[in-house]
Amino acid sequence: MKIIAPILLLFTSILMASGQDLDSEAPGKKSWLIPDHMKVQFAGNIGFLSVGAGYLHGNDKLETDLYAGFLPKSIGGDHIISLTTKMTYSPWKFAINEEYTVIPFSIGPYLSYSFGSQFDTLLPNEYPKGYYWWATSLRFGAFVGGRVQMDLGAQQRVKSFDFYYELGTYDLEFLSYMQNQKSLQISDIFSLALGVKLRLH
Amino acid sequence: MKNPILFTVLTLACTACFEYNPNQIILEDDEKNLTSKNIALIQKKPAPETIRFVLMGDTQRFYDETEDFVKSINQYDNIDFVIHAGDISDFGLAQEFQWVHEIMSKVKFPYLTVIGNHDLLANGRKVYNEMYGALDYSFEYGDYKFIMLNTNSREYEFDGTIPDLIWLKNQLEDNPENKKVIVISHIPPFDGDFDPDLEEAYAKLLADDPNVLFSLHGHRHSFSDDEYYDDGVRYFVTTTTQKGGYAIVTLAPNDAQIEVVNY
Repeated sequence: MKIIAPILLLFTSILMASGQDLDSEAPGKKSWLIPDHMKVQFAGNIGFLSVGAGYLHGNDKLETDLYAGFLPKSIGGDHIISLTTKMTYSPWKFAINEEYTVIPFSIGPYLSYSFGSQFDTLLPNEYPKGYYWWATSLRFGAFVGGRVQMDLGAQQRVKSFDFYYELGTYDLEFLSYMQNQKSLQISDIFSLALGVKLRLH
Repeated sequence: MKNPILFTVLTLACTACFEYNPNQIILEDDEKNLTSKNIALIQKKPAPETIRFVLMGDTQRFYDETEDFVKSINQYDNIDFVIHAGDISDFGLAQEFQWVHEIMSKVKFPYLTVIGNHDLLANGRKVYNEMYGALDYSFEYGDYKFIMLNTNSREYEFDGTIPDLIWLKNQLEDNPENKKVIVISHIPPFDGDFDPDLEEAYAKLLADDPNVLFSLHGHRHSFSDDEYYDDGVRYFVTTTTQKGGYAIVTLAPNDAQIEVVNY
C-alpha cells in the first residue's frame, strides 16, 4: 500500500490541475501539471470503465497516461478498483481531411494495480522465499491498436476527440498461451478495449 | 452506431472478447455449481459392486498436458468418476478455471474437485465457490463416503482453522451405516504446507475411525504411497498432469486397490 500513496497523490494533483479554470491561464504559460488529454476507456483488463489523464511527448508520438478504473460487482462478479499507467506509441499519422486523421497503429505496455486485501504486492511472511513468483495485485500487459482523430478546431476547449481500440493481453495469460500452444489459441488471450481521448486546449 | 445490424453482430461476437480485470468472475451458467451438478450425475447411476475412480490433479498452467490426460482417460469405459486433487488453476484466475473446466468437460465421466493452494490466490476462493461450491463437502456413493477437505493451511497463515478438523470429525461421526470412508484433500498432512499443529490430530482422527480406508492427495507433483503413520491408514499422493500420470482407485467389496498409470 505504501507504493500506492504517491501514485494517488500524483493522480489527484493531475485531476486538480486539469480542473483549474483554463481562461485564467495566460496563453503559453500552461502548467506542466495540466494534462494534454483525458481518456475514457471501456474494458481492456484495467476496469469496466477507466478514466485517465496523460501527456503527449516524444515528438508527439508517445502518450503516457494514468487511469483509474472500476469494475462493479454486478458486471464483474467482484467490485475492483484499479490504477494503471499506460504508454502508447503511435508512429504514423495520416490526415484524411481537415477534420479527420487516422492513426493506424499504436503499441504500448501497461502496468495495472488492483486494490483489494486478497491481492498481494509482496509475498506475505507466511511463505518461504520464492513460493509464488508473481504479485497478484500487479499485472503487466501490452496492446496494439489504432484510432481515428476528429478535430473540433484549435480554439475549442477540447481540440479533438479520438476514438481508439486496443487488443491487449497480460503477463499471466501470455505465459499460459506460450506454454500451451496446442490447447490455447491466440484469440484466447487477447481481448478488446474501446476508448475515447479528449485532447485538451 | 449507424448500422444496427453491424452493431448487433459485433455485440454478439464480442460478449466474450471484453475483459474488465484479470480478477473478474464472469461465468456461464454451465460453469456454476459444478460440484452439486456432478455429484447428482454420479449418483444418478446406481453404484456398481466395484467402484472405480481416477485421482489426478495439479493441472495448473498445464493445459496441453491435461488434454493428453483426457485422451488417456477416455480410453476406459469402467470409470465412475474423476477426482481432481486441487491446484486446478495456477494464478487463481477465473479464466484459468474456465480453461481447465473446458478441457475436463471432455472427460467421459463426471469430475469433482478439492481446492488447492493455488486456487485460493487472488480471487480464486470466490471463483471456486461460484464454479464448484463449498471448500469442504462430502458425498456418498454405494458403500463409500467421500470427504473432501480444504487442507491448504499456509493460505490461511496457519491460523489453526484449516483444515477444519471439527467439521471433519462431524463428517466421520455422521456415518450411521458405517460406510467405508475416503478422505481427499490437496495437501497431505506430512507436507510443510499443512498446519504442523494439526498434523497429529488429523492423522489420529483418521486412525481412530475403523471405517477410513485412504487419505488421498495431490500437491507434491509426484506419486507416493505409504502407511505414513503406521496406523492402518494408507496415504496416497497422485502426480500432476504435467508429468503424465494419474491413479485409478478400485473399490471392490473386499479389496481396495490403487494403481498408478503413466501415459
